[in-house]
Amino acid sequence: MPAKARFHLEPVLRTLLAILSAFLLTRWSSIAVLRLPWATEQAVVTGMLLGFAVFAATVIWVFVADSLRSACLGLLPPALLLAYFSREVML
Amino acid sequence: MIAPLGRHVRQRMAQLHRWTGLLLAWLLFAIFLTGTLSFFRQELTLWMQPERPFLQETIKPEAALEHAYQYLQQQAQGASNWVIRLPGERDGLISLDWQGPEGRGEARLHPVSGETVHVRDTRGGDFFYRFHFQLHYLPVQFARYLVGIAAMMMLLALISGVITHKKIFQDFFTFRWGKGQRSWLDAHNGFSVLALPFHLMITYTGLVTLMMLYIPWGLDRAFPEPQQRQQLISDVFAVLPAEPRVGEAAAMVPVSSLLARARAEWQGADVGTVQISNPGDVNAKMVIAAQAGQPDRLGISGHPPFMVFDATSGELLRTKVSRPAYAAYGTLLGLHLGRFADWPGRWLYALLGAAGCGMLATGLLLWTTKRRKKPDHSRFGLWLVERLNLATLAGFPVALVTLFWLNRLLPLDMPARAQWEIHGLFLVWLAMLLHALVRPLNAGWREQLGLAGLLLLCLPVLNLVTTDRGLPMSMAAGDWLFVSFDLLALLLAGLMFRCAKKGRAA
Amino acid sequence: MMVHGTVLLLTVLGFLLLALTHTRGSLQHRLSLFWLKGLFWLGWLLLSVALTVAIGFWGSAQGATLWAGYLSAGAGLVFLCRVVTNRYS
Repeated sequence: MPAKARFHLEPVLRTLLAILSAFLLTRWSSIAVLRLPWATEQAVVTGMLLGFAVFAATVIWVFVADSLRSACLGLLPPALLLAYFSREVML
Repeated sequence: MIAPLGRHVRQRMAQLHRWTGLLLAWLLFAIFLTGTLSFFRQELTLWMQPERPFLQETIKPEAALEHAYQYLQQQAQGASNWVIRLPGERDGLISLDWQGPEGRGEARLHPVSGETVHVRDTRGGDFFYRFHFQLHYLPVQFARYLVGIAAMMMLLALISGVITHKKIFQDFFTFRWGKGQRSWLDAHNGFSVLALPFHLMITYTGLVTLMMLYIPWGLDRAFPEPQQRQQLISDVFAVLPAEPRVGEAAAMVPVSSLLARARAEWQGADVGTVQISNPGDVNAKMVIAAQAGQPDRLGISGHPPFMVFDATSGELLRTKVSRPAYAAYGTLLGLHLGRFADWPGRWLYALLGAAGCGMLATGLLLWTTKRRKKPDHSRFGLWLVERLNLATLAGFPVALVTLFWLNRLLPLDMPARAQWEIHGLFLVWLAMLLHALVRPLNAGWREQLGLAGLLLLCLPVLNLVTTDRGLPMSMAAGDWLFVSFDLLALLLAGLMFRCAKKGRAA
Repeated sequence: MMVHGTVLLLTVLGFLLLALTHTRGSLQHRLSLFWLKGLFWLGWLLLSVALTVAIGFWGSAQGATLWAGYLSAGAGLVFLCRVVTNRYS
């Protein structure tokens, strides 16, 4: 793809990335929090309370990052961690 | 149409701020304006029901409960649910609601005499409260999602705004009063930064209030069964899960002893509501909850303490469960509701909420001003935003004031009167939209703002003519609610006229 | 009611001092560095006193909340005064 087109496409790509990653990270963090050694109700409510911060931080990160690539790279560690911990939650 | 992303962080944040700020700004303005009015929910209901007696005596809760019981036993026999809201500082009447075999019923009783008070059919301040998180005419779930998305955009706009204007705190004390773009920018910065803690708090806590809807996945994974979720809700909120009647009649324990027990548990705090499921049945349960707005005894939590009793034996079944996470949720909820605040505190909330409306309005006006100066701006985009600005920033206030006019003018015995007050509001808003589409912009602003000013100015006159609680009577009786409503209407009318005079689109 | 007024007054005075003694404030060229710094810190002190009064009378939760609100209100009033004086001076 010619560089100029990619230049103009980047905002769209970053927006899509922001929406997708915010959704996934918020979802996974609200489930992964159940892994903590707390009473289930405590964990569930804490996860919900903090979820909006996760959402906001993710979207801001995607646009703060210098390039689309660094945005993706920066998202990878938390995404992998949270995805792993929200896999099979044994209650 | 979409510009490439800026090379520096502050540029990118400015772009994010413009997009997240603009897309749902008009919805957010309506939410913020009705939300701000909601801080005076009870007071507005009182104004919209002038038939209510002006009460100044302190009420004994036991006597009030006696009246409530007598009434409910006569009128709501066989109901599945009784809800008794005891008189409080902000609402002097006893409110009764019940779910009976013929449907819902409601009544208002005078707290001293126990007689029914007939008030006009109106939603009162509750309309503003409900609208600001579930709108109107739309399916409730969908509307809540829409409001939630708007709130999420607002949160992003606030954060990106702070990052963009990182230097604002230094520039702050040297405000330049310029013309055109500069003055809208300075006004926008003023409204945003001065009340920044409030804006961040109210947006985040607003999302938290409906967090079970917006972030359901952990909840669904941990508590897949609906009963489990119901259990969680009953642990925190004073609700009684619906249970079937056994069919065997049994006398209920006198509630005053239970009241005393609750008050002792809550360091003397007053009881606010008593709810009874299956009254008169052997399976009757009662939940007693504390009155909101007693922060010296109960803190600022948004869910007051409660106790659930077996209504026939008087046995304590359960109380509100205490957990750190629940307390955190309660604090955040309480911060959003502001029910703990006394009246100066509530005015502070309202002032800051108004600053939020100012922030949204100046942001929109700033956007159009900047856009008009750009030679290659999208004509359709600018036209659309300018018309929506007029219809919302000026038109919606016109519609809101119309609600109060309709409250005084609609015939009292009109069927579905409460609904028609609201239909009227939206019809006027639609008319303002049409007006905004056809009139030249400067004239449109002057006319709509002028209309708002005129309606506000004549509201005290309307009140004087249609009720017996006009300004002179209220002042004589010391009825500060009605007095301050009239004075505030005049003050806001002045504000509207001033804006109309300076009314230019830029 | 009195407490509300006191907290508001303290925040207004605090912000007033901060505004006047700030890098581009009106007292910048009229006072010695010693006084400028002193009044600047006095401004912050007044804001802290406001917090203490708020928590003392209303408890930590309500006190901190209302203090935050009054910070905005106080700053707003000082801001408005500066706008008005700049406009008509």
